[in-house]
Amino acid sequence: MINRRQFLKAAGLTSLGLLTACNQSQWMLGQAGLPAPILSSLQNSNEEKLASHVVKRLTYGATPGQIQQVASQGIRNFIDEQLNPEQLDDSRAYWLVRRIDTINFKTPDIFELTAKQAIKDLRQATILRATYSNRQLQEMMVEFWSDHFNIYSEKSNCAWLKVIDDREVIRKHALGNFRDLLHASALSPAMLCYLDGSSNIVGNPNENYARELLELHTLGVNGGYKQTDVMQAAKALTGWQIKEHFWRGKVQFDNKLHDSGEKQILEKTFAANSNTDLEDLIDLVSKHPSTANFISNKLCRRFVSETPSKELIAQVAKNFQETNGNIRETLRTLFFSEEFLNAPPKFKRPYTYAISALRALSANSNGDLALQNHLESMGQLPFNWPTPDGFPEEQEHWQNQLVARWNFAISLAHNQIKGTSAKLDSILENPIAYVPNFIQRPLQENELAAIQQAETPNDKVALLLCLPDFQYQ
Amino acid sequence: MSEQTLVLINLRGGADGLNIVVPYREENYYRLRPTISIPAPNQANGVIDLDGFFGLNPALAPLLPLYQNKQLAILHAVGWPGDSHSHFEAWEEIELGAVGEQKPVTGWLSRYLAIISDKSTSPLQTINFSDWPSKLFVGCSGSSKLTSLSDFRLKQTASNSSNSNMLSCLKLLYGNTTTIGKVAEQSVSALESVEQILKNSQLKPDLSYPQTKFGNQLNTVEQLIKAKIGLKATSIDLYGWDTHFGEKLAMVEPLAELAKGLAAFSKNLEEQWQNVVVIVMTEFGRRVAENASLGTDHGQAGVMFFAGGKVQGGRVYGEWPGLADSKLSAPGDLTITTDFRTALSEFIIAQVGTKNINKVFPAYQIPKQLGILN
Repeated sequence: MINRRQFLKAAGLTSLGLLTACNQSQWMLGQAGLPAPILSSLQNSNEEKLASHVVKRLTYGATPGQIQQVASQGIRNFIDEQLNPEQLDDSRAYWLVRRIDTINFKTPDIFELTAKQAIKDLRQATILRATYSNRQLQEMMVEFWSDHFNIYSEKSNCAWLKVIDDREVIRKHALGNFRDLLHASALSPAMLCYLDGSSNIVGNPNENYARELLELHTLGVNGGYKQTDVMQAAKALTGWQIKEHFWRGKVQFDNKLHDSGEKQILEKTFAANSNTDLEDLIDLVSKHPSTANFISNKLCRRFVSETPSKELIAQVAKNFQETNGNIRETLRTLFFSEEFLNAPPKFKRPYTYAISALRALSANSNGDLALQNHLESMGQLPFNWPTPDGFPEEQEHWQNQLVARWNFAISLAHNQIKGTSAKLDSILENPIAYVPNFIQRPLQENELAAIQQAETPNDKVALLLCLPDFQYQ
Repeated sequence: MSEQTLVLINLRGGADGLNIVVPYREENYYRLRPTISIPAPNQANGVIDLDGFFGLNPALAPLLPLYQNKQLAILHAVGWPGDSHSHFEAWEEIELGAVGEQKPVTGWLSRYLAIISDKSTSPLQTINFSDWPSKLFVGCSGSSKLTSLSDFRLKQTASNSSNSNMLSCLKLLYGNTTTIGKVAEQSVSALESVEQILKNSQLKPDLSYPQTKFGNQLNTVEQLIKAKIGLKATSIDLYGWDTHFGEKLAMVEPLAELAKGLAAFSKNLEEQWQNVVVIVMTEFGRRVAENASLGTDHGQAGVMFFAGGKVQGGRVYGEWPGLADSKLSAPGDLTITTDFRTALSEFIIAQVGTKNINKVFPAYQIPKQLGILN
């Protein structure tokens, strides 16, 4: 017997099921199926202004009407929702990426694809999720950690192995625990390949990964380690191999290639013949106070500004340490800080800019090569940054590529990107009425004059995407 | 005085200076390279004699007239003093203009540009053609990443035929903003300049250049310099120098490409050649002894070229360390007698004087000027 509540719940699920079923079929065909953008209204109330700020920082840009919705829901609820993505329905993004088989491939099967196909497909899934997922913060954090644990797809086998790394390392732990994330990354075949960990063997150590582990992944360059720590850490990490042939891409520990001697790392003794060197090292560096500081600094620089205050970094770092590297809780501290809520506009990196344009126009995109080529021209094609420091954060690095942004805006507004189109009929009728879909204030005189001067409605829409304030989040 | 335009050509991969400008009077050269050495002058496929001691690889023959006209200077045994033999670290330190632990975050070129940059911010002051993750332009706000001139245009669409109107709309759109407005203004001017150049030239391929990416880029730079739109510096890559295997054959093509490109560039620039300095450099030379694959492994000192109307050319600069075993640097490399910063300072001092040199190369003492650009 079921009670009334259970009955209603089941009935509700059924009708929801029917609703999704009809959308689902088009999603499964790769159609996002978004309607023409609705008209947003200008934000006047304080709630709306705050909502606008929070939406712009926690997502890849507001979708039409989203700011009003978040304002009425309250930012606290919105932030909580985003910090608990597993509770958000995400059918659209789920079905859109489900048809991309590649992202579920494992080693060694993935090597049956060409490298080009594998990384193209991963980029496609990444773009689709960033654009259409309701779990926006989750996607932002995937990008954050993809920079932090950068893998360059052009190196050796990384184009294939990054697919595994994205699924098993970055996505799995993006809002989880830092120690787990770091551990997964240390044993990720992509990382062992990218930073030469698999060439790091007893008697012939390769310091590449050990150095970046300390310099870029944990303590930071001034975090208090010395060259000897790098060398000793490299020894502790010897013996982790990527298998070939039948087991190509699988990671295994080869004790014969491991340096079993005693090590001194960051003033801690690693006893000889221990079989937990890697575990102990990951424990040591993930709990180090410099790591809390370094990660907090990076999070603040991503979400707040290029120059966060020392106080904020310390506050976030304290939370990171107290929660043993709980990423969700660390972010919660950050998002509810006064400094975050009052942070000045931040220049969008090109990837964020492009996705925000797709979202503002409710564009239906397949995320395929034509779009990826635009990201490359703008300088931020995912997984295409060569050095282990990840894509730069600073405005100074990105602002010189405005011309590539303008060309993207023009192409998008003319529906001239293959595989990407928006239902523009209503917006083309009166582009200026749609200003609140792009920026949260009335146009200035010169901006209005510029848009009026454009020869075609599509050019006017392109200029909306080029608005100076729309370059900021 | 207006500064000369710097055209920096990066031979990425570690070009073998010893087989480019060959010390053919050194017996050790032939002893250590029994298979891949270039024969003495007047032998079959021998070097072209330069000064009775050094000879030019015959694949560089198109550069001989420049050398004879004293517009090409060669600097030998020059290099980056690090010892890691790493392409990546070498370029990073060269481009940052510093060696060792304490490194600036900006590139030496951007620091040089900061000194000469006038407040009128001429469009297209710099172009970075590099595919390499170059640090040269880090810190420089005026660089546009450009691979060919026709890539740098505002997108034309069927209904958007009037490019110039859209440019003027963009200029207006950004007019009132401060942070990004200046960058937008520079970008619009750059686009307008390029439109002008494209209009003036019919974009016929100039067959005097190699029909390669490198050749096309040099051709583009030539057009921009001729258009006098304030180009101050550009960086172009030429790959193919990491000759671990079959070096002798492998080097013929990139050398020929370099020579043909530079010869065309110097000739086509006509009177503007007086206002240009070309510097050709690499991250390191190669091991003196050949390896078992008829190639050479990563070494230390290499060779640099300086070319331009005002270059004091026609000679090989630098102190020659010799190739005797006792003169080599471990593990068997040509010893560096001129630091790359001393070499680059020749150009910088000629433009902005000695007083500014430490802004470009902090904490570096130049032992002695060479006089290549005096």
